[in-house]
Amino acid sequence: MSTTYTKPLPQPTALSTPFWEGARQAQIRVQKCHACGHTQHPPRPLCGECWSDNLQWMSCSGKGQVFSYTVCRWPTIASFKSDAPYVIAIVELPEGVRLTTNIVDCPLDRIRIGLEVQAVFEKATDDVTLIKFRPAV
Amino acid sequence: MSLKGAAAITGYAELPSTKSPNGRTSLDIVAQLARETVADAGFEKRHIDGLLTTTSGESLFWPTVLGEMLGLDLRYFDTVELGGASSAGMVWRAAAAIQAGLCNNVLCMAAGVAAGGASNYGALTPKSREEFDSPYGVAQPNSGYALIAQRHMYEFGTTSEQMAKIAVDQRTSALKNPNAMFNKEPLTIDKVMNSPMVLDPLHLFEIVSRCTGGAALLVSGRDFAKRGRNPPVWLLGAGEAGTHMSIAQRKNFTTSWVKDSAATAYKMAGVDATQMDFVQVYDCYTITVLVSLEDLGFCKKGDGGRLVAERDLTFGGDLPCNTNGGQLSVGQAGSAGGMGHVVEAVRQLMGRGGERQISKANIGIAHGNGGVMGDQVTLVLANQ
Repeated sequence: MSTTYTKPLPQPTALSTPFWEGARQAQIRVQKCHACGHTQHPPRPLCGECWSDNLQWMSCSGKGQVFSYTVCRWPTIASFKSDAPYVIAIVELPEGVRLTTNIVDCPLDRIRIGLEVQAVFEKATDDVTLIKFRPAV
Repeated sequence: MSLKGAAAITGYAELPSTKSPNGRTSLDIVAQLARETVADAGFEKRHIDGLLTTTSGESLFWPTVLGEMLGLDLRYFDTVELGGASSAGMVWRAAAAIQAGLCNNVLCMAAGVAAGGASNYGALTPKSREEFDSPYGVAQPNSGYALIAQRHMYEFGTTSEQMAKIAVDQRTSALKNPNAMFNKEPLTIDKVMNSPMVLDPLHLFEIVSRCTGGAALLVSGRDFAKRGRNPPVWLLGAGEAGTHMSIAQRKNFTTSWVKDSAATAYKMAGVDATQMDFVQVYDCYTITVLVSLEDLGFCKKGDGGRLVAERDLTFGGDLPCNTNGGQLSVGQAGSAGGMGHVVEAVRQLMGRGGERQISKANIGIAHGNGGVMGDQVTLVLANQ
């Protein structure tokens, strides 16, 4: 699998490694500020609200809601051409963060804003698992 | 401290957009633009003591490279990196530098050479975003604007036909613009709706095409402005607002930072939207124009679809908008695109619009937008 995966892969940094490590363990991990309670994703070196560096990783429930979406029918990234049409979405988690992701296992006529979704963890390579979502019911 | 009347635009130049570079480089485009702009203003090389440009992707020290090539003796030079808002951003920075006494005449230039195929990760995906966007087949900026459009339709019932009308009206104006890349065939709403769907709900004809081109203008202090060749176009107000890089970080997708940049600019100028004779607003996509018109105050939030459907946006219409055809018809020369909007505002205010001259053009807006509605600069310009 890892030798044939041709799509872009994340290059985790010191900052983002806990997020990607979480994905491998089927968890959505985001930063929570212990000074002001703000949650954020992608990870930052400080809290984007209060600038505290007292950030801890927390695991999310895996539930979410489609905040907006688009169906990509004409991909500009070459390795995605055979996937079209595919759904790109911003999913809002009850924990207060949004993820840019794909909605999978969902007929195109079912996708809509507000759709309740559940995280699925797709192993791209031995090292990388991507967090995607499918309809909750 | 206000920039109102601190400086004026005294001259401009613009290259016709071409699909392929035809052997041209950013350097020789800039060389031509510099010469033509200064000549248009009625000044000479020795009068130029400031230079602003936007990122070229070609070189570090880009303003220095250009200054050396042009043989200029500079007192103020810099890069303004706000994507499509860079050009509008240059104008108020130039005025501020002039007001501060640093310099007298600032050459503001933007050139773009179409770089062949699309980047693998999208033109606007910075390194820090690749990690969280690219694995999902997200290439900015297309995806981001589609997400905004979808949300606008959901919240306000905006339709694809309404958005298409923007491209149609702009094309009508483009038919009178020899510099536009698409200036032969009129568009219809049906033609836009029948063009291929790229990213729902954005059709191909609602999306800019890359081209080679460039534009430039000269910002001059009061004394110079009064003795130039052209009627000076005064900066009455300027406002800048941001930031987000990823649209996911913007709490409200459908109300943009334009609201904030516009408020600052109107306040400085002491005017409001109802007094504007025209609006030249950054148009990378139809939805960009729609959201910007709302946030610039031409209607209330959510009524943008109805506004563009009911009003005539052509140069002869009751709400002239992107009277050169906008980037949707002119083409997008990289970040040089935003300069076309400012130049068109200046052209109209100088009365040099030719066949597409707006009958009453005394005060108007040039608005630049960068990223995915992340960087906003509003300028209020007037000819008196």
